[in-house]
Amino acid sequence: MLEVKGIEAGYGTAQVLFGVDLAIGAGEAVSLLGRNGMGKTTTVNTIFGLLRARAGSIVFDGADITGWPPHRRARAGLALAPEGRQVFATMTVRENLLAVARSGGWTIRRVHDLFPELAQRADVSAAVLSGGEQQMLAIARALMTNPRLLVLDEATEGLAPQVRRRIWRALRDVRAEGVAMLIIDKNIADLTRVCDRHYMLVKGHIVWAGTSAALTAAEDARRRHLGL
Amino acid sequence: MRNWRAGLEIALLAALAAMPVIATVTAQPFWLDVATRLAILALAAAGLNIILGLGGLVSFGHAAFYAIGAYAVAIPAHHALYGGADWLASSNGLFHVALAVAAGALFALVTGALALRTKGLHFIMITLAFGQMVYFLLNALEDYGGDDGLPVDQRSELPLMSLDDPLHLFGLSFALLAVVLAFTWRLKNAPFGLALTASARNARRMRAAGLNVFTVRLAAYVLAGAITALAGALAAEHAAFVSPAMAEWTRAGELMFMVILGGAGRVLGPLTGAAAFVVLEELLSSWTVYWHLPFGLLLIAVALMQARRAA
Repeated sequence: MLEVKGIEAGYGTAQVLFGVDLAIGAGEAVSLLGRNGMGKTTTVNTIFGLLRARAGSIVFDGADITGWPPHRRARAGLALAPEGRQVFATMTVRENLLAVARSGGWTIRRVHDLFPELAQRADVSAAVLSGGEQQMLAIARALMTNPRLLVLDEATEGLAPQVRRRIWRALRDVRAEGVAMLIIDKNIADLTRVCDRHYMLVKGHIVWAGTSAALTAAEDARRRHLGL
Repeated sequence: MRNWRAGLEIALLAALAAMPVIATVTAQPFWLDVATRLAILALAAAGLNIILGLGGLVSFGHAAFYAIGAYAVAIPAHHALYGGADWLASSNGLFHVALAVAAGALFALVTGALALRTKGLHFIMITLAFGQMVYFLLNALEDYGGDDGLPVDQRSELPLMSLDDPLHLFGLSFALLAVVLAFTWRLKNAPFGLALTASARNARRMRAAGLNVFTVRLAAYVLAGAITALAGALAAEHAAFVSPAMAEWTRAGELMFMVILGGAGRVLGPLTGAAAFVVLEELLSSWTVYWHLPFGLLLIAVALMQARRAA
């Protein structure tokens, strides 16, 4: 469904990505692993068109979207729960959801079923939510656009273990609905339970790719590329 | 704090609605005149509130729309009375209003399509530039009085009402203001309004969520221009006179003052802002001809206080 081929990108004179290749099939969940500063978020920003690809191509659902503006890509079915959540702090929880809503299977009621916490706090300003609730809101907001591919950039970072488990459970539910996912996270054990395949990114290159079973077995690659 | 403000807004709206009675009972038609001016200015500010308050875009040329709306009444009325330009000449108020709204929307569409490609300071400068263009264009229209302005010797004809009757003109202005405020309330809580507000906070995030931020802002800008042009048309009927001064950048600044003082993005904010402006202007100018000085000092104080509260 998403095919990224040889993308290069960077900021100013600093090149970050040197030919990244990755592919995600329909309904598939894939993780992107790597230490800090290896280009994970840069890869995501390039896929979404928030950063221009200097080389390479991005194909989504058979269409070459490399030159498309961000909003067009999102309308084609890409959604991002960004790093740092970036909820609209001056708006209520409900307004955050309504501001991006597009018609489809995911409605306010459905995301409330997924995260009952958000239903209870629907009319509360997003600024006063806890970190975990803000993360739920960021995921729910991404779902309100009714995407076919959901990208999660550090969705469990800095959250308490209990909240983290809550998020992972929700992601498994979303996955079961047939939404494809690209997940950036540091928790290998949880990732292997949700994702089918994994990529390791080192200094702007994909250095390892494989299934969950292969990742569990690849102790050497994990130690070398991730420090785990 | 919040309830205190909402209470003041509702009280003001009620006082404005009751103004015909107050003016009749106290036998002071002057108050009705002030109320009409207030309603028209609030309507003009309500237009600006959509782009500045909800959209967070500082449009510094909004007085241009006010003047465009006013001239859209004055020019056809002038030709209807003194001949010439048969295709444009008309004394029909419905035509005048339609022309004002259409001209305001069209000017917003063209200038907005260019200005909205910029942001921040550049947006302020380019909207100011478009405002000044209109100001100098109107100054150059010798056939329509140039910098002397153009009297509206015969007010527009509307079915069932006479705009020469101050009560009718107030009723029309107030009704239109009420409709626009109700519309703003609906808009603010609709997905369109939420998307507009969210774009002001984080446009990049909204783009990544699939919103064409430019189109939404352009639609809001056109709406804002059309509403302010409508207010300009009413102003022409009220003063029975139009002049390039309506497009001056100081007028644009006054509209911004009303929106910001009333609380940018608050639905009834333009009403409180316009009320504060009109009352201060009446009060201060009755004390001194140099009323702009205390007025300016007050503006600075308000800006500093709001900045402190925001920090």
